[in-house]
Amino acid sequence: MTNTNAVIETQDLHKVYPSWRTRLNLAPAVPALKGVSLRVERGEIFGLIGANGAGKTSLVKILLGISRPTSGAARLLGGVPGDGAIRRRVGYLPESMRVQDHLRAESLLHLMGRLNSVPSSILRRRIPELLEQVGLAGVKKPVKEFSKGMNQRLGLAQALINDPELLFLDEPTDGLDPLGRKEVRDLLTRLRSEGKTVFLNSHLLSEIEMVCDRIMILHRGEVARTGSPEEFTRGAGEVVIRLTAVSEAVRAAAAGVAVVAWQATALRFTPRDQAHLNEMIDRLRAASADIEAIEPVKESLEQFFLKVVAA
Amino acid sequence: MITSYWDALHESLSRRVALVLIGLALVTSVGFNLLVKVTPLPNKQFRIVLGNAPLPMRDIGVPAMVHNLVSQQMGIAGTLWILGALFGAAPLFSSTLEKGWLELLFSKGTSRWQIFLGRFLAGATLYAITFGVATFPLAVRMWWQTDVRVWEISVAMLLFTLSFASLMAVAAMASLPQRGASLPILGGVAVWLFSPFLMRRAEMDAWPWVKPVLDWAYRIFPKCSELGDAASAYLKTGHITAWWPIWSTGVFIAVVMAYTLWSVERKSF
Ligand SMILES: Nc1ncnc2c1ncn2[C@@H]1O[C@H](COP(=O)(O)OP(=O)(O)O)[C@@H](O)[C@H]1O
Ligand SMILES: [Mg+2]
Repeated sequence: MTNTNAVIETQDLHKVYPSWRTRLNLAPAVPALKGVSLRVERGEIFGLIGANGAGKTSLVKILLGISRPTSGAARLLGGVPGDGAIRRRVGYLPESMRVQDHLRAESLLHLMGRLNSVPSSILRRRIPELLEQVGLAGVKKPVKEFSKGMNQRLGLAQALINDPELLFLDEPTDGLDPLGRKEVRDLLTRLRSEGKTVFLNSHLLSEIEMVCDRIMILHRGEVARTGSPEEFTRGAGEVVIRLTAVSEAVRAAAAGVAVVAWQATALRFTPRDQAHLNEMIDRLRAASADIEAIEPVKESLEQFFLKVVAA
Repeated sequence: MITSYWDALHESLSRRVALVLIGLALVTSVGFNLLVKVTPLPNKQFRIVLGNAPLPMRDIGVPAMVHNLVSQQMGIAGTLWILGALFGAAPLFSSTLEKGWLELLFSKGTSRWQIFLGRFLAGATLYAITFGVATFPLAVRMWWQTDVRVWEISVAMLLFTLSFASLMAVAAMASLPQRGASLPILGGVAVWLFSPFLMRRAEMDAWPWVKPVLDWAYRIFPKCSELGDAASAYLKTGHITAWWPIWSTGVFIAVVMAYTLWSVERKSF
């Protein structure tokens, strides 16, 4: 744990939520995290995906020092989670934020800013900017009258109040309309271009696929896979060759090279290597087939995820 | 901590119970003032009458009468308003720990203990405000009309606020093991109801083994009743007759709050 470029580093985190039933041995303790080790580098958007109850929120709460691990260690920004000086450099959008009834959007942002020791003079300038950015400018209602989506937008604004270096977002697009989701994605890419690090929790895989640099799949408290979206969606090497028309001669030529599947005028097969693919193309051309396009078959992140989780 | 203090004050004042409380304090304050009639007599003397039934009057002198009146008014502030303010202020701790709000508060650069301490101080302030609203108008009016200053009322306020603070400390501690505001309120009320009982434990016939238990309970628990008596005595005499209830209650608050702040710091949520 010495590399200075790692913004988040954990080693073998375990978390068991104790309850009276488990303490009295009436029920077995079900661990929420079972040995999670991860590393997030500065400037990347890191996506954590997993089914409901996989342990994503538990992990984030440990990284923020809200909850304590049963065993294992975590470091962020070169310090320990829970240290006030470290937390002042971190932003956090909790999963189900609930704001006290007496607050309005502005007073909430002011309170959150002051708790992070942001000077009032900076807050006076930053609060209207942030409200504008998340589309809540001019909203005067108390927060308790906000819709789910407005609440979520306010949550984003408060997470950015201290201009954090590291941002934790737990299901940020939950309750947002498609436009709001797009805005969140744009926000994330802008933050990355400013050199910030983002740790994103989501079960909405398409979101993650679109913005994340690296993805970790958490399954029942364990790390199932870590990699880039490209690695995950590369597929098994299958290709599709689209033709303008199919004749019996073309079908015969293709069948002579490999086992293929036809779908109207498109054929799918998995070449052993590049030579195999080229041989197929040569044979098809020799049978006077007119090739329209050759495409690799990509897997969606969802398909990949379901495969990993089912395994 | 100061941020948390102001927010807690804001939060408690935005609760209906706190507004009702301060409103009622104001109403009783005004009502009591209306009942008191001051008529100037020659030789810089005054006739002060409470209510409209002219009871057989005893001449105890103007200053004594004025102190007596303020003391009566304070009696309400020391009982009714302590309970009322407890309903308004005890939830300040449990509301911090509400799911979804806790995550917002406890992920910021301010330590949990500072947030809790700020809320404790805000609760004590809420009570002091209620006390002030209930008693100060009469004292100020008497000063203005009869030139008798009842400045002792401010020391009495501090004594009552100390008593209230001990109940707030109990509420803070009771908010940790579970969610919700019921246990903190019940805890505070129970300690408050228990205190006159402990003060008069000697008058009770009890099994012999109960006595030392009660003695110890008396030594440990806050002495709300005695603090109330001390405040009345101070109003009459201008002297603190016994320091023991004051410092022992202070120690109780310090120990309970230290334990609570330490627990909230190390708790995993
Ligand atoms: N405060 C808690 N007390 C007890 N169990 C909890 C608590 N929080 C989460 N859990 C359990 O831990 C597991 C992981 O939950 P969570 O981290 O919220 O998952 P996710 O965010 O991936 O949906 C779940 O089985 C959940 O029931
Ligand atoms: Mg979650």
